[in-house]
Amino acid sequence: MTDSTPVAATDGPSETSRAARQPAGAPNNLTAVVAANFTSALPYILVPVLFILSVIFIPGYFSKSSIISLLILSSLLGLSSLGQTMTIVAGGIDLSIPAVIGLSDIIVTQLYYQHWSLPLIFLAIAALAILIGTISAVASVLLRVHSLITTFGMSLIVSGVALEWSNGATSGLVPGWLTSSVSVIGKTGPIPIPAIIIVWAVGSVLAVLFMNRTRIGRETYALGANAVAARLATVRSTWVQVVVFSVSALCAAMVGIFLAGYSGIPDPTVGEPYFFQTITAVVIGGTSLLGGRGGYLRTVLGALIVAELTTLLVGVGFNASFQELALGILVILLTSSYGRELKVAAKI
Amino acid sequence: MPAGAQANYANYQLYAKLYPNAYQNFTPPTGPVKYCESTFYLGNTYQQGEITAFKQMIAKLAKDGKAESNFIVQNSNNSVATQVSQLQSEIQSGCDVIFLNNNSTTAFCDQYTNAIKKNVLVISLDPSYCNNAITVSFDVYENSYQLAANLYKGMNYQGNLLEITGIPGVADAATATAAATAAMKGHPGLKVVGSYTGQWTASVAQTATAQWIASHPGIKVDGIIDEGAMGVAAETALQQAGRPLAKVSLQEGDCQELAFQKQNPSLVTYMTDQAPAPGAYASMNVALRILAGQQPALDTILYPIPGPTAATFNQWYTSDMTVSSACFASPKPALPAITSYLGQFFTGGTQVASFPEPS
Repeated sequence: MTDSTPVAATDGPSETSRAARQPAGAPNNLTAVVAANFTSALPYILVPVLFILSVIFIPGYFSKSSIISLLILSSLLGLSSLGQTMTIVAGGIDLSIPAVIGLSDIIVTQLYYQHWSLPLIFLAIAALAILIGTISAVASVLLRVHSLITTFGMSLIVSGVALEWSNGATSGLVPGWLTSSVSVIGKTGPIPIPAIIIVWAVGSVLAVLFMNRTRIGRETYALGANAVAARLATVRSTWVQVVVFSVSALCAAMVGIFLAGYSGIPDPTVGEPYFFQTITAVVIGGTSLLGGRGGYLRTVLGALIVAELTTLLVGVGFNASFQELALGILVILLTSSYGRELKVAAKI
Repeated sequence: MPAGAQANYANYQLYAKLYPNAYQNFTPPTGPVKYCESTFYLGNTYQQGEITAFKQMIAKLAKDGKAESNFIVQNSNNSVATQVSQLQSEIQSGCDVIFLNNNSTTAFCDQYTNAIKKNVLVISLDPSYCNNAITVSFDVYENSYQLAANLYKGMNYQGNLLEITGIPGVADAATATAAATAAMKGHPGLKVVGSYTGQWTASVAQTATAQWIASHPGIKVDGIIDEGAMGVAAETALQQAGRPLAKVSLQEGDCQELAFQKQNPSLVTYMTDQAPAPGAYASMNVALRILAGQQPALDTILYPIPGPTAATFNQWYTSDMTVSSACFASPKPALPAITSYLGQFFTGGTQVASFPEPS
């Protein structure tokens, strides 16, 4: 197969083009074009709108510390959602992300406390993450079950290992630079920005390039759009799944390391809030849960929207229940507009 | 109620009920005792710590031939319905003593009755509204009240407070909040500027505090009402945001709190050691007494929470503890007082030769 073989529908612009190809003069043509453009542009609009609302309603919000804090929280969510985006675009989902985050947090804090060298710890975590991702992918292929099931099973296995390892009476330690990398007052060399934000920015560029400019990236879209057609088109389905689930586990492991620096303690449950948040960020960004459409740039916006909305609601005094209520309403409103589009497979 | 224990029951009626001991006709099993545990969330470090302590004590009993070495533990992952069925299966499967961490004050009443019929001793480590179990716990309201009152006093009754609450809907969380609010009465100089849940989890509390700080850039924080295991995490969030640290009362007695106290003695206004091992020890202590034929008058046995003072701090603190430690301090300084205190509740039976201690 050549590098250009499997190409599938990817992002919003293709929907706009379809609407624009309607016969000229049709009464609903302009409406369709406007609706398609508006739906596609919603995340891009919401990010600045929510920021402006925060500046208006929260006195003193327009400050470096507030913006850095917002970006740190967005980075943690954004990085943990990176792999989730790929698995969803490929037509799957990864429910093991919180467990992998927890295991990684436990490993880095405990092994560093036991004076292991950091490069060795990171290598061990990376190897373990790739193993977890590979097992999830291969199990899905061999057992012919949706990744919802295999990653849920993997989540239970990994959680069990993390709980057994931590055993409730453990000590942990993290290097100072790791704490600084997720601290509002942290720096990256001479740059007065904590490292996690820079890692997220670089990771985002690489993820977008990976998904749009590489063969495996395009195969990911093809597989998510129509798995049967993809196989007939000689898309390397198993390999694609191994790659996306390994990337997902690697990203979760990286977030676990950053969260170890953030809270400083070994905590097997540290990843639990990311169970729904990663899916929320992906969905709010506009990536279809049906697969084959969307992309990581949209998830970056989704992560920013979730962090901005939560910060805004905290700032104006809403409690956790109202925050969840607001996020729920936003998810329903946005996905109902995205959801009006057909699954890619149905359009081919 | 023994005269020496009445102070520990001052506020218990606010969130639970007292009944007579329903195990008057309990027949202690002959031979090694089979111990089991039903817990509602094994992901919680506190509950893991309790199980570890039970395992250590049961291993010592097994070595003396007084217990089966196999300690059965079931986890319901926060599902009350699952825990009810798990408790039922433990009762049916031949457990002699079941230690129970429950997150419902009423859901297990039928199973307590079932346990009595099957001659199974259920020791609950959390309050309940029904009879037929033995509850071994402490006065959550009084503990929370003292923590808050000492914090306010340490702030000279002036300043801005962050209130970090436990898991919404859980009785202990509501009790702690009510106590902290009650302690504030008559002190208009105190103002709660932020109230949010940290779900008794350090990482959640730290993230929530970071969000609060980001959305309240101009508001100074003078004190933190920590309603359980979240105070140091909130302080870390303040530190990472470049904000001054605030005064706090700490109640978990874990290594990171002790290390924080060591580093910032002027910031910690009060400290108790609500660690899992003393709680597990007290529960095992009560179980062993009942297995020896002793009987308490009440079904609910409340013990005072131990805690380090300036004079005894070094009995808890060791130099390897850091604010990044997730361990609990050795419970040994607290154990003799617990044994002595619990003795006043029991009559009859035979003396227990020795009570195993968690390592």
